[in-house]
Amino acid sequence: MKQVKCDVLVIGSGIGGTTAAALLTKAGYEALVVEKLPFVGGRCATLDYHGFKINTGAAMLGDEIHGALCREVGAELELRVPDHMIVFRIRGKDYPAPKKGFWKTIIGLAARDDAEAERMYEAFKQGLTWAEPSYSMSLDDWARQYTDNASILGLFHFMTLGTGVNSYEMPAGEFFRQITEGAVMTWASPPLGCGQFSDALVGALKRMGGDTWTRCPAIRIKVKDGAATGALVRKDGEDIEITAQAVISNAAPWRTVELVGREFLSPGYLKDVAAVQGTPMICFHMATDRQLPMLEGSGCLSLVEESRRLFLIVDYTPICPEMAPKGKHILEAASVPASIHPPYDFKKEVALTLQDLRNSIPDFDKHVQILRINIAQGEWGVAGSLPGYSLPIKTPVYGLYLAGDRSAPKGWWCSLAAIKSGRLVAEDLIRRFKPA
Amino acid sequence: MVIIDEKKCVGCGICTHFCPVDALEGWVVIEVNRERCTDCLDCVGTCPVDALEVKE
Repeated sequence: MKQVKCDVLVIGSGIGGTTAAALLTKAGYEALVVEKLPFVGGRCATLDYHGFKINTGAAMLGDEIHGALCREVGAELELRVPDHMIVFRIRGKDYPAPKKGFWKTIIGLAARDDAEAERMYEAFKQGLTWAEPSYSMSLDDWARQYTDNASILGLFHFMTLGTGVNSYEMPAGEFFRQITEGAVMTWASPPLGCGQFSDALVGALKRMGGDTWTRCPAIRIKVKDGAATGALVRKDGEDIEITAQAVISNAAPWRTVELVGREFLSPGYLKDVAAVQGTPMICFHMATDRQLPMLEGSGCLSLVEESRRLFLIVDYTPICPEMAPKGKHILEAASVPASIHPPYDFKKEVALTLQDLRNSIPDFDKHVQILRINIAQGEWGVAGSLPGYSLPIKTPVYGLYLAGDRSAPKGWWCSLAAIKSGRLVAEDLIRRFKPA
Repeated sequence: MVIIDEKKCVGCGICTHFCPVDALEGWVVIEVNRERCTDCLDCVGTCPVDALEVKE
């Protein structure tokens, strides 16, 4: 059997895996990333569909975190920032949200009067700067302590839906920690979609001497004397044995368990893995031949209260015309099921979202063509785990790490969590293993 | 022949990007349009959750 040696083997080219691989390569380790799919990035990739660029997951990136990582590892990434990050539709009127004084402004817009605005903002500020609300209370319950105003409740509801979670299912403490820990205020898109971020990381990895193999599934993670020693992978129909000092799995935890073998893992760990659950979302990818009037000046509209399910419509074309054929706009609209726990009734959820789209977009049937309705759920969830629940980066097998958003500290979510997790894995690995 | 395991398919639509004749269609569960499918097998290995299989 063909044998390959490296310092670190990374299974899966999602953001967690490629972040760790790029940082370790920069630190002098020889890293090899193996990916079973034909493309890199997992849920942060962009695929072509009849000339339209469709994101597989992540829809926007933050310069403070994604951009900073690229600068650190020498990955080239252009990020285009819209004039207004988002427009909020509150009580039928559209308001662009400012970058400075974002929270104070949007709470003020949703409030009935100045007194309510001040009461709500003070409670919000105290949650951020002094006493974080409890994890045993939902964000909706937290907000209802101060108001019954549907616009304010709708505002907080919207702010959680991007992670595939309803406000009545989001622990209040986690929501506040997401703002204090993984805060991003400069949301942007690369010219050809978020997949360019993953491509940039893999490109930097290659330039620094690392490598990525696509269409290369892992068959088994090898364990000897309680420590990970590499993996067996399949490439072009041939089995290859890869020997490494450490293995980073960016595959889902339960797939990692299958690859290692349950006998090497404790019952307690297997129980923790079984409790990991992804969050759901429905994404409508659509084409239109004109700029939607309500998206002018921003490209991103959030519906705070008028919709049943739809919470966001994004038009990428004003900042990234490269994502659609000439003369066309590419739109993405998203909704989250009423409950984040399966079983889901996606047929009903799609029908409700479609009704919302028809109500929100003038002449929807005349001007808009649905390209794809893509579902995120389970292993392919928006977030890999429920908010506030994650696994440690280290598994019971010595030298076997988990990287990805399912192994990030509290307060980190989606691709931000994947980067955080990848960074923590790289830092820990550098302390324990030296490059050969 | 390409088969999609309904129990495994999450409806992510990734496979639809790799079909040159648009034979993979639908949402929630992706289905193979047998009239269009040419058995080129370009979609094999594109499913993130291993719901797509080849059967003789």
